[in-house]
Amino acid sequence: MSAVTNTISDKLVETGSTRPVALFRICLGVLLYMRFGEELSLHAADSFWDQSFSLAYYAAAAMVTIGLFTRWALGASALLLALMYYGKFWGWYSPGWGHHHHYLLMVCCAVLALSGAGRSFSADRAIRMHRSLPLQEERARTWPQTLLVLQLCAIYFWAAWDKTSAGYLHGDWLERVFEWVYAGNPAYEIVTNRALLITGSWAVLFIEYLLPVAILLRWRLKIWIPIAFALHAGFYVMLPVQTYSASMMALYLLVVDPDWLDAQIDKYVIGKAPAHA
Amino acid sequence: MNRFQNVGILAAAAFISLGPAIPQVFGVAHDYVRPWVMFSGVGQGTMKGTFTLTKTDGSTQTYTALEILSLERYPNVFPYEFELLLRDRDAMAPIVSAFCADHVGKGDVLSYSGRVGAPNGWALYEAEDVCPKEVQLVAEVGS
Repeated sequence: MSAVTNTISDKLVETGSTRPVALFRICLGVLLYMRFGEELSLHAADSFWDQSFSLAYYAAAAMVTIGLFTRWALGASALLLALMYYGKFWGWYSPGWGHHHHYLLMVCCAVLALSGAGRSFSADRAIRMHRSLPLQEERARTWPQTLLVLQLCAIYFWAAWDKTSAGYLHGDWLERVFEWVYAGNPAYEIVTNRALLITGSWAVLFIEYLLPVAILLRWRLKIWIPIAFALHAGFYVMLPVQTYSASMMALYLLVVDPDWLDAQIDKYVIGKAPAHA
Repeated sequence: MNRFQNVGILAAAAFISLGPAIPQVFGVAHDYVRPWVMFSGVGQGTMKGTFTLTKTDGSTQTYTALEILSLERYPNVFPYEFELLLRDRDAMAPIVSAFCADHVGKGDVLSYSGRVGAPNGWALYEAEDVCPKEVQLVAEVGS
């Protein structure tokens, strides 16, 4: 019991490079535009409230992307996404709001607002440099990353749990999905091939149950991360998954050790000796 | 970090990891607890089978569900809300009514045999004489 308590205590005070979480923040800003940019654009708004909301959303997403007043921008983005997500309570709803892609973006913004995501690769940092102000160290507590990694694992586990049924393992569940997506498509006969349906169903379930175990135990990540990317790439190519696959793939920036990723950025991107080695 | 922060972080971790058990294990749906049920409803109500139109002279012709709906593909809508799906056994009328009005004459019978998208995959479904009577009546008047 004390070992578990010690592990949790260590996790709460653990620090790491803020560069990985900053890279994730940039991805998240782009994903905010990808998911809601078009439907929240000014030309799509037809009231003063909608136009004000559009401007606020665009401004917040831009500030998240470039890292300007980063924590406030992330908090504002989370709030705006929450207003949409729970908008049905006051009769403000658009098809697709409240979907799991939406929830994931909202949670990422909310948790990232509590992280050091603005300390690296940000306008906040550049402004401090320009004004010759003391720079914040590019290190921060990593518990926000840990929470988001936990979210990633929870999605895999509970999605697998939902699929665990005889109908799914026989390929019927996937065939039913493909009937909606591919009926009338030239690829229909291929994707509804029974052997492929069964193989695909078992593979997805196997991977979704094992990924959280591998991620949490940090077990053979060099193998499991490419498998996860292949899974999400497959989802992206074959199904209308909106920003889900891209969000999940971006979350892997937080799965790897932050100081290891920092060192790789120094070595391969910036081309100098690691700053935090 | 103070004790309150630690409790907050641990509560968030518990909510993220175990919260989905409330709707997914205990079946208690709540707007503030997210179940992770991707694509679980997609394709429910689609029909994978054959519509057979039997004419009064005994000749038959078969159609797919998309042909009955006069569609080349199901619409690319999100989140997959489409009214012309067989969500329940009594929902056939709006799906076939346009086809019946245009193609089914007096004494002709349109039937369906096949599968219908269900929560865990497919359900077998067979139905005879699926055209709504008022639509057939319009066809009779017109023919």
